[in-house]
Amino acid sequence: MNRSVRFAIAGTAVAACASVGLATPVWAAGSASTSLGARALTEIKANAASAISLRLSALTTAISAVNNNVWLTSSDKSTLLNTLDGDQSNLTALAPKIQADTTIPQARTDAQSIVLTYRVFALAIPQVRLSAATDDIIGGALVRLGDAKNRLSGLLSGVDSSKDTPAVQALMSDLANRIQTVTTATSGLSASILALTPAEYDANYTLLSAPRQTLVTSGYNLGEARNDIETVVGDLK
Amino acid sequence: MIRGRVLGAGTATLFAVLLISGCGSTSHTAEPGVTSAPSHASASTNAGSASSATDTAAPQEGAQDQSSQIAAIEHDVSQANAADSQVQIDLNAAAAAQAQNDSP
Repeated sequence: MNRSVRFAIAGTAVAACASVGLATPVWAAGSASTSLGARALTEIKANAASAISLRLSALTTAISAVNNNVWLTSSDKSTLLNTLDGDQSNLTALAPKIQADTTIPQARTDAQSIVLTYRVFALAIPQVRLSAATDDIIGGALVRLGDAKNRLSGLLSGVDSSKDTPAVQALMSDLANRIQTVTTATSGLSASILALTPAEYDANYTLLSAPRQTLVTSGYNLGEARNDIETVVGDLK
Repeated sequence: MIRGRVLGAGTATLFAVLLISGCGSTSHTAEPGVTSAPSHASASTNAGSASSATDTAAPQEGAQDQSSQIAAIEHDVSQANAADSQVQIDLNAAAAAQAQNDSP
């Protein structure tokens, strides 16, 4: 915005001089305007370098998080890392291109692509994190709770059958319902999150709200499922 | 930008469904029923003794089996809780990223 204002003022001044028959000012035609343009170009390049650096740093953090996430399957890990590595590599390549730009429009377009092409903060990293969260649930929490439920059912139909009271049955029923609810809610969720594109995000900035809410609700249900198990276990002890 | 992430996610879902449906389950063996468990989960030591008591009297065996099953269940809950904590970490990280200015 500041750059536009400065150019507008300069242009108005030149036009005013011309309209009243004055000679074109030296600064408008010569070294001063060149200097102004050079400054603007330098500013675009500096901002672009900063924006890229910020995103590369965030991508590095996300890559580390994916690598350290023990709940991700190796295939999902590979997919997510491909995305992050790709963004990182493309942004790294974009940096020198922008620094080599010789015109303001060219630099401005390239600088805008840092955001518009990758949407690192608005989409890419949230996509990776929300997908990872889905895998945390599917490959971690659901598997463990399902296993615990099966073990409890085995005990209640066997050695602990005398403790299979209506209250315990109600807890087991709630447990099964919550596991099923989360299973249904998260089925295919990761794929749908990962399929989103920056273009789709630009058309709908709330694109990730629904999957995020699904994960929050699933987290609540998983917590309640754990409570059910702990209560039944307490009754069996 | 192309984001070729669908295959991996689908694989994860299928993987989880297979596990939930019983393909990955074991009985009361050393690791509580999760062959796909993350490496750190194999540190469990609380469910490994159930099958070793085959020569004990029936009542003791039942009690021991119940005890090991309870231990395995508690281990499962603990692991589920850990996975849930990771969910929160991922949700918070997603929110933090979205809070950044991503306007051109």
